[in-house]
Amino acid sequence: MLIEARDLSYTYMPGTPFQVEALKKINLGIARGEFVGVIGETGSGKSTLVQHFNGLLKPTGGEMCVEGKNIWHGETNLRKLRSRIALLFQFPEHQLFEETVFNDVAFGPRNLGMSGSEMEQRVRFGLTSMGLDFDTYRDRSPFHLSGGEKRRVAMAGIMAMRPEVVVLDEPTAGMDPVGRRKFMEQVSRLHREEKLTVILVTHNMEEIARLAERLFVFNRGELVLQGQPAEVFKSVSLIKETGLEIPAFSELLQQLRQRGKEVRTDLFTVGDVAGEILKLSREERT
Amino acid sequence: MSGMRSITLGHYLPGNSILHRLDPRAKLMGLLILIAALFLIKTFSGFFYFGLFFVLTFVSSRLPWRYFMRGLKPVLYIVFFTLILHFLFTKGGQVFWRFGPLTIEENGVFLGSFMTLRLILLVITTLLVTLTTSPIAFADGIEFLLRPLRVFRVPGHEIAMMMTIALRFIPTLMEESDKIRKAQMARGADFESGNIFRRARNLVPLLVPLFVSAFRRADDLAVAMESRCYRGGDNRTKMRQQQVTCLDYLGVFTTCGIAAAIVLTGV
Amino acid sequence: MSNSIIETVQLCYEYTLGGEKTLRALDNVSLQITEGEYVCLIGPNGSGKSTLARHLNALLLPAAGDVYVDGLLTGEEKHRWEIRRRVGLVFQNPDNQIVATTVEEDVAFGLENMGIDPPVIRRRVKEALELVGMSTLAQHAPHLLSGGQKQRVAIAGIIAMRPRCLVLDEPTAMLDPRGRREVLATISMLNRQEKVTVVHITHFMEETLEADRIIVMDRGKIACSGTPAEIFSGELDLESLGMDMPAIPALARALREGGLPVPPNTLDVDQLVDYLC
Ligand SMILES: Nc1ncnc2c1ncn2[C@@H]1O[C@H](COP(=O)(O)OP(=O)(O)OP(=O)(O)O)[C@@H](O)[C@H]1O
Ligand SMILES: Nc1ncnc2c1ncn2[C@@H]1O[C@H](COP(=O)(O)OP(=O)(O)OP(=O)(O)O)[C@@H](O)[C@H]1O
Ligand SMILES: [Mg+2]
Ligand SMILES: [Mg+2]
Repeated sequence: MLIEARDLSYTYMPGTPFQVEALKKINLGIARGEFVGVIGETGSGKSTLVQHFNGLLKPTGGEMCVEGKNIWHGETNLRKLRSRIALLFQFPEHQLFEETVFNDVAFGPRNLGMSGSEMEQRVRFGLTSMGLDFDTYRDRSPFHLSGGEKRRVAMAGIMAMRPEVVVLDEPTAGMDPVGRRKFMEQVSRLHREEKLTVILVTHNMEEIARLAERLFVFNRGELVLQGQPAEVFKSVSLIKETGLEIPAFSELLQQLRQRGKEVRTDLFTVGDVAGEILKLSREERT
Repeated sequence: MSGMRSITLGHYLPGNSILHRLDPRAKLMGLLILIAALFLIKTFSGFFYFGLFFVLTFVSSRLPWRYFMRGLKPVLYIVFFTLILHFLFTKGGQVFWRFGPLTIEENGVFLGSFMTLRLILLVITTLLVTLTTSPIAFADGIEFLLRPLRVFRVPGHEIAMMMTIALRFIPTLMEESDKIRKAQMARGADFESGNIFRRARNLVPLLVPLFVSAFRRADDLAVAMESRCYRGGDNRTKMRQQQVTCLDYLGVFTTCGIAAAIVLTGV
Repeated sequence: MSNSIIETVQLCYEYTLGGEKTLRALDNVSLQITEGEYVCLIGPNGSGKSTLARHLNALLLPAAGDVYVDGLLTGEEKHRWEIRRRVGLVFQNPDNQIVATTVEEDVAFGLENMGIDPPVIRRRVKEALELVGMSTLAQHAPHLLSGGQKQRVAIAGIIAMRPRCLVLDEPTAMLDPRGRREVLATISMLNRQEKVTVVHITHFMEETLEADRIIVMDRGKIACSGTPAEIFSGELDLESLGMDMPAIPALARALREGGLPVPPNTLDVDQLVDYLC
């Protein structure tokens, strides 16, 4: 396992009247090259969890391990770790601060001690990996870009560190549908072509069902369910209890099954579902 | 450093004690009287009686003392600093201790302890009031107390409104700065090491987004307020009309009496 | 136009971008919204939805053209406060529109600004909180609420002012599924039960399916409008407008293309299941 949590617990403000147990004894593992999703309702502890992966938070109980080593024992270099396991927060455009796109994207590489052409290489890689043309954008001010462009620049800043893992915490909130789809397409292309490990936190069930290979479902600080999307969304009542939704296609296929139709229920894209239903209707006609 | 979301200095703790129920105006008036008394007291015995009065009030408020002490922590540095300054630099009277050019002398010890006690009593009394008064009631109280100053064109309503909004947004902005700090740390920023100049420069990635965000929020809020018909203090009513009860009069008068008694014992 | 609560006539608006440059955010927008209607406004980022919303209660004034609210012209100074009372605006980020430090005080804010008597304020605050299902949290501090709860507080603050029309600018963008459901249920209850006219701006296509009418904006113009069934029948090229089809209509279109004659007004799971079984 690349990333592993063992009995991981975290309490905010322990010992005050405002104490919150945000994570309770979490055990999970994520392998290299996986695309996993983390879902759960507001306040269920998703953001708290992912901040443990690169040592932004220190567990108040249990262990956080990367490649089998507890990152809080001995000599783990946290800055180095953070360049390997990169984290993009919600509304990432709010973290932009430099005068030019180039400088902002270069912030990460520079903190890794790079300069000159090596750094420029990284910036170029970051921008092109998010579908932004290096020469068009390098000298523009990040504050005068559209919302979608800003977000891609922020993501480019992460990619420029050439991380092995990216953790995306609700990266597409407030974007229009096409912008959202394009952004996620870039990410899943990086996952396929660059073997990037992706951990996606989102409230969008359709999106996560389509993209993720494995899901973790959180409820009030506990990991209540994990598995492939098709498995997870079969537990209809549990999912609804935790305040989440079943993707429309799963719901449709499951209802058809309940009415005695022989359909697969592990399909999440328009093409697949349409194919399945058309096949069914052809069989019924013959 | 994480987990500072809802704790701010002197964060209000709801409760149902007499102190909680007193009208904020009565409480603020009482506080003013007590502060005045503190500056009139000239003897240690005066402080002793004052302290006794404070302890009684504190116990009656049923605040958890641990939480109270936490709120006090940041101030202790200032108190300690005052003490040291007086010890080292106020001269006169008997010399207690000598080390090279440094001496600690009688007057220094006396004045140092005296000032420190005054400062501590001042802080804990104020903290007691802020911990038992909801921010909005506090702002209302201030607005009321500033009302007589309107003849001097002191904008009482605006000041109170600013206080309310500041109180409302402190937790939000603290959360935000925490988030931006972490976001930049995730890009390898370093806020902890280096000398003071380096550190100051390293704050740029934190401060720029924080200012941008504060302005954006201020702008959003202004639009939201305007769209809810906000147009200053004129013709504005208040949902919560403060009812002054016998308890409030009693509170103010007792405080007055006790303060006067304490001051007189020390003269 | 007797029963249209909002009417814009060839509305234009330009932002100045410093120096001589301007940006045309609204371009000849003419539309009418009938009393009691539930309208959804969709369109890509930057298409002018928020700018239009801000014209509906005189936060912005037209550069050219007119906006009428209940027959009152927004450009006239003397109507401004009455217009803002009649058309309430709810914004995307619940954090940036809550003014006070307790829920109850915040809901009272608008009423206090209108100079209403305190006993009446208390009654209306109570009613508004009950309507959005937040009465038990009346004394809470807003920053300790969930996003959905905050957004419902913001809605209560507007509802307490008894507006005729509620304009919501992406009220669910920052919420989780439960928060989104809560807010949507509140909006549609207000529309059906309290007969409040609703203008709902959103990027979630699924949320538009209950609307009476959908208006699609593109680059400051109204690109098209119609009922959800018309808009999502599959004949319009929504993609080029930056929009997506909601899941079920998209599937219905794919099925039609595959030779299965699914009726074009199939919008949700139940309808499709009924058709297929
Ligand atoms: N900085 C903080 N200080 C105190 N409590 C916090 C802090 N951050 C989060 N919490 C609390 O910890 C719990 C888990 O929060 P977390 O942000 O991890 O949830 P989440 O699943 O990411 O929610 P969302 O979907 O809203 O982002 C919540 O109850 C929250 O109120
Ligand atoms: N204050 C402003 N100053 C200058 N230009 C602005 C301002 N506000 C908006 N604009 C520009 O006006 C156009 C319309 O913006 P508007 O915010 O109305 O779009 P929108 O449809 O609400 O987009 P979104 O879906 O992103 O909220 C955009 O091109 C935007 O960049
Ligand atoms: Mg989160
Ligand atoms: Mg907008």
